[in-house]
Amino acid sequence: MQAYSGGPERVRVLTGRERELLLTAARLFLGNARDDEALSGLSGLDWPSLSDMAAKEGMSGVLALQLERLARTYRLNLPLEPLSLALRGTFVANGALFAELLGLRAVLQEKGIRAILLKGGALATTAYGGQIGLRPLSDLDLLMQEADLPVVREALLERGFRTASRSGTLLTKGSVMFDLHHDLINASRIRRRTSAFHFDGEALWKEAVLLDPGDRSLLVLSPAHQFLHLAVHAQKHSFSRLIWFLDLALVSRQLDWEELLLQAQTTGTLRPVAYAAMGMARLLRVQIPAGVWVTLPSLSRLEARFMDAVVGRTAKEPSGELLVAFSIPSWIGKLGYLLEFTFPRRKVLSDVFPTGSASWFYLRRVGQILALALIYLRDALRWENPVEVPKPDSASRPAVGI
Amino acid sequence: MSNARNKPKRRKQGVAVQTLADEVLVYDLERHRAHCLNQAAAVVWRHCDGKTSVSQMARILQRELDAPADRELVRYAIDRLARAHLLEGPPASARYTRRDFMGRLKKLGLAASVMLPVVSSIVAPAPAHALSCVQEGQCGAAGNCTPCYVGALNQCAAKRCCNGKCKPTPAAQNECGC
Repeated sequence: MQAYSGGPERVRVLTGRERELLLTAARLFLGNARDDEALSGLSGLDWPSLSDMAAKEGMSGVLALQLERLARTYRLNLPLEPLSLALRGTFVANGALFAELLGLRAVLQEKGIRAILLKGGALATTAYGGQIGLRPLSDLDLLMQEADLPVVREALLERGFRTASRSGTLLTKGSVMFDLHHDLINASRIRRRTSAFHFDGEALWKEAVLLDPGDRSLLVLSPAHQFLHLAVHAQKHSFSRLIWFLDLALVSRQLDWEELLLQAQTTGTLRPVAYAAMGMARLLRVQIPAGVWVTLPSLSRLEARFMDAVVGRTAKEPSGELLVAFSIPSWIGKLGYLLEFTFPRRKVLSDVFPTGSASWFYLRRVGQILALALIYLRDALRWENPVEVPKPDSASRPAVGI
Repeated sequence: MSNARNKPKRRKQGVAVQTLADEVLVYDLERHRAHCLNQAAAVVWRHCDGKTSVSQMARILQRELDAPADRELVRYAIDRLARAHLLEGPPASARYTRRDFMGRLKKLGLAASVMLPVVSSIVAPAPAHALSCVQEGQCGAAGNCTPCYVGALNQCAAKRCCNGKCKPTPAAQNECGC
């Protein structure tokens, strides 16, 4: 374990041991690893670092569950208290979210409104089998028809929530947060995102499935739409949390890959699917059918470099958002997207940055992108593989184009 | 003895359940309360299906925990579960106190720590754990909108990373719009 003091808080530099155990726990959860792989990785660990890393990757619950099981089965004495506490914390926090959702569901039923539970909230109750301590959530995302949004917002305000964003779509009550959407890819901020990804709203609602058979008010996306949405969302955040790959891997079990690829073509999401598939295969040993790699697009050198950073868990946040440009067909479209990303419209800025100066924001955004470019340039000049990770066998590995 | 008392049924609606190696966590979504059931209480609760009798549960408990168990022990567990509103129907009137039961277990020579069914309330730990919260210094790596704190962990519910800084969530102060 390497560590250094870099200020008031101790900043840890993590070696591969902690990371490897975290990956093994995720693979064990999926049934893609054996207990002895985890057992051999238990010696010489920096446990506080492991807990920090698990929290940052959204993996505390899954890691705690696997290690508690191993400790019980093999009669091991492991320092699991921080992880167990984290799991219980997630359970209680998520319980509070779902308790509020239960109240909102009654309102939705009464008013005949339908909503689709998105991302983590849907996954915690479905892919994770209702074991809500395993999947950390910061909020519950609900997709609804635009006309229903004010009604739902009003219902939440009546239930003691307050608006936490200028657009009025983010509502909080203590630590409980609801994020209301009427558009799956949030194109209101960057309109040109629709040049890359275009989900057919009608198809989303038509193929969505009821969360509970007895309640028509709350639905979840079909597995294919859910996978595509998760892939696009994870790309936006540069796949910076390992739990997102676990989400994708769990949803991929319900997939008809042929149908998924058709939907990906229709929605313009083949590239996010390629990133997701590559990450799942390399990090979690998920078997992707060989035919899928043939259909997925070849990655450019920059995208391959991005995926190396994702697999090494070093990808920086804006990278994935910038790579959306690769999913836009025309050069003019790509340029337009990058310009809109770098210099958001003033209306958008006044929504999300009401008290700040737009010029200052633009300057800072340019600085961020230059800094990112310098990081990648530096890494390219003295490149070393940051972590050994399992790679899919060469036959199923996607071609990397230049 | 009524069927509800002899063959109790656990609540399935309005609860979220997390099964762990040695415990079961139950969140009562209607009452906003979280409970932790130790192994003995969890075994009883799992078998409260409206079909298994108290005598059968005692045998199951004995087998699963590899220690002597009797009907009184099961009734004590059911009493605790009912008080926590984890069974269907109204809670039974109090029959047992923990102190009474500890004395009884001692008399029987049983390992109280293992066999005494415990249903305890969980108090939410630091939200940092719940939301994968990071310290402000880690905001750059964690990315925008990750819950964060500067000094105390309890800030995590109200602060989010925004361009490398940990800022209050309301949009008026947060250009990241989290």
